[in-house]
Amino acid sequence: MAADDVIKTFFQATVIVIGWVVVHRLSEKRDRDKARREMVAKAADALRDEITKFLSVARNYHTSDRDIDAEDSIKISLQDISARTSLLSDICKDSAELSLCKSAILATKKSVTGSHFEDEHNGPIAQGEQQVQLITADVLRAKRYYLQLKHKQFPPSG
Amino acid sequence: MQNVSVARDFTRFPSGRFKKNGDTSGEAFRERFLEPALRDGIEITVDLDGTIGYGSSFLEEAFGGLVRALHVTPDYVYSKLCLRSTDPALLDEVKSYINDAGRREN
Repeated sequence: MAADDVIKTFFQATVIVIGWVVVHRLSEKRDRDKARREMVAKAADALRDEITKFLSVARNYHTSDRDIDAEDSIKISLQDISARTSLLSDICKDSAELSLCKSAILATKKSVTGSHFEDEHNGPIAQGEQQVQLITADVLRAKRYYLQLKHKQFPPSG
Repeated sequence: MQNVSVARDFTRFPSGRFKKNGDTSGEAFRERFLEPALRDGIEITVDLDGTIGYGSSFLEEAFGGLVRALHVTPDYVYSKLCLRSTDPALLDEVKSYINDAGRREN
């Protein structure tokens, strides 16, 4: 085999190896990004479900006699939902959507625990009271933002 | 510099706004730890982690109430108060109460 042929073969082999490495890396990056987006979507779904359940607990607390066990449960739920939402920033690139989720959760916390809570709960309030309506509106807003965050992970192609 | 952990030095179960209804309230925490430090111009670090959770009424009364009780500006509070928590949302919430109280005072 002539020296030229050896060089040619070596060159071709090198190109093939480099090509394989590039394609492999790109494919790995795409798979990782897909897994990340699926993880964010799943987390957004789970948080939506939890805030939905939380709405009835919060409404029930304010429209019934004071329940100290429910107060602890409300605080723990809010802390958990808030922390899990904040931690999504580790894997979520859509910071605008995530910020909306965070601010909606903070608004929900304020409307649920800012007044008529713990020592300020002096008897049930009516379902139609402004605070109960505000809680409902804040939770619905949070649910909408979680849904937007989920949809953002899979934008329509084209 | 004074270091206070709410869970270690006050209670793991902070609850309520006013001390007349309980000694684990926001007002009780403010009067016991925050007000004396800020009155004496001592810097204080408050670690918020380790409790069962906070109601907004506790946090608003403890931290927003500081601006109202001492008639100080949010900037003065921030110059003396350092907040610690692994939950950034909790830090943002407390800051919102300090800032809101400052706006209402002016």
